Amino acid sequence: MNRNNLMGLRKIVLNSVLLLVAALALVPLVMMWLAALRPAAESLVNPIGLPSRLDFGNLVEAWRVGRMGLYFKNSLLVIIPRVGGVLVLASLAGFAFAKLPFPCKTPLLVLFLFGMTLPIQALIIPLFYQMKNLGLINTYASLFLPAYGFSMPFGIFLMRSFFRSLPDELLESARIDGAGEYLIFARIVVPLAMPGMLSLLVFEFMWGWNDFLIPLLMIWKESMRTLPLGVIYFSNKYTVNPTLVAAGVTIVSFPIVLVYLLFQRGFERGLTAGAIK
Amino acid sequence: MKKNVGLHMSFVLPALMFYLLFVLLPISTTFFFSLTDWDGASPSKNFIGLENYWGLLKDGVFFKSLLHNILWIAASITVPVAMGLLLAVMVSTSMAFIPAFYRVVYFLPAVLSSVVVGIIWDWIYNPSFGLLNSGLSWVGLGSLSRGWLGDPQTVLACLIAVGNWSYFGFCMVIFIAGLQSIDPALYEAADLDGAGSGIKFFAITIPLLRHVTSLLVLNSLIGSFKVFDLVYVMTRGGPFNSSEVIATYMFRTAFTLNRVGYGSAIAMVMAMFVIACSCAYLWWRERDE
Repeated sequence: MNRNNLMGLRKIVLNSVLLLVAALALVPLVMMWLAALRPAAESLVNPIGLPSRLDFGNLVEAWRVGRMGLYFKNSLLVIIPRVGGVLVLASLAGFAFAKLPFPCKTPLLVLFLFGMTLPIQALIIPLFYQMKNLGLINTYASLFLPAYGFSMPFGIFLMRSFFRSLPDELLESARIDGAGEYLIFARIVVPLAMPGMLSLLVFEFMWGWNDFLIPLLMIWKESMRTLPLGVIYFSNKYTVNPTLVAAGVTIVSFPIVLVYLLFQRGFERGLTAGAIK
Repeated sequence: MKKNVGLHMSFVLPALMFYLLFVLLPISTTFFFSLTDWDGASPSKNFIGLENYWGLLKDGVFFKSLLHNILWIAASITVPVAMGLLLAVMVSTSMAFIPAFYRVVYFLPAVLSSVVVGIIWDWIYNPSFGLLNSGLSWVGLGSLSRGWLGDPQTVLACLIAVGNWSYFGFCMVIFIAGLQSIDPALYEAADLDGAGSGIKFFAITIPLLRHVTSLLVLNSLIGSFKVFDLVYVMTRGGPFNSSEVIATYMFRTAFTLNRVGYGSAIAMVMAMFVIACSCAYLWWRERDE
């Protein structure tokens, strides 16, 4: 009987600690979301407690008056070519590094590995002048093109590790049937490597959606701001109206939380493939 | 085979082209800029050798920023890594109620944009309506309340706490993967010998997670040296440089003060350090393969 009681007590203590940490992780964000749904009249009297009813008017106001709708569109128009391009480039190269012979393979792989060690801050000064000289300041291209370079090391290594596990016999038999490498890639390799592609997709989406430094440098025009950049200027402008700021933050954070919850396995797979293997 | 070389290379060349253009060209140019006195506008760049680097040695703000990065490193190689380890072990026991829920929630802060994290914590630290001050006065410690981010004494610690808040979940996920690779037979054998959970933790878990722990420590080291967004969003390095870090100082020097050459030298110093730590990280990771 004592033993059972002791086990029960340990279970309660353990889960209390775990729940406390869960609250620590969750409460700041939830507090913000609740603040966004708080009726405007309540926000001055009670800016952080539970709202008496949910009011979606603030979100609509932030979307229209705060131009979050426009920034949302900009973010989408950057994220689509960014994620799409990185997926195509990294999976093609990752496949070649995993399965195809070509000259200078190892030196090239080491060259890409070198990029994994570089902090982005060491690149941004010349990158800014490069974009300026190309006339790309204030364009979507200035935001997604650099990612085609930055994301290659992680993307190629992640995809290579997924492609390496595919059996060589499968590719050989397709080759004997006369299929070209691109056909094999599109019809056999990509469908089998979907979990890997999904991992890369969620990571690239997260980095692209949350990117702040590159837009901060490249976008000077208000109408071209992406969501994170827009919400920062917005929060400086509306410091006296916390409800509206919370609505802006909600609009930025909701999509990424949704993607995370939907593709949580993809996140964990990518993390552990990158760190443990 | 020979005729396939072009075909095979065509899989790699597009990626390589972008990589050359947006990674290798910029890093080489950063190095070149760092040897000049360029101001970002004038048509001529005067070659001044290592003068920018000598200048750094006499630059008080640079050393102050470096110190702040070192404090950031000290905190983030210990607190979130230890938290991640303990949480991973606790979540992996059969006693945890809904392990998947804990895992998802702990990692959630890590997926948020630093802009979002910055604004959220700006509210928590807010002197007039912030959760921290209200919480303190609620437990009777109202005398401790202050403008957390405006006070040079507390601002850096407050920022580091936020950084760690969004990082401990990552450590936990990696430790859980590490725990799953430990052979359960080891724990069963220890059970048969009558070992308690404390002994199992110190005699099996910790030694077998040594490798994962080293990876996380190196990763924290690199991340803490690169930290930029959070500081820029929350304090821009202020007040009076009391939360300045290398990356914000570099950004301000190059883009606000237009000392592009000097800023590039700061960027190069940062790159050298991060490259050295990353090489150690990659070496550790590949060692077992």
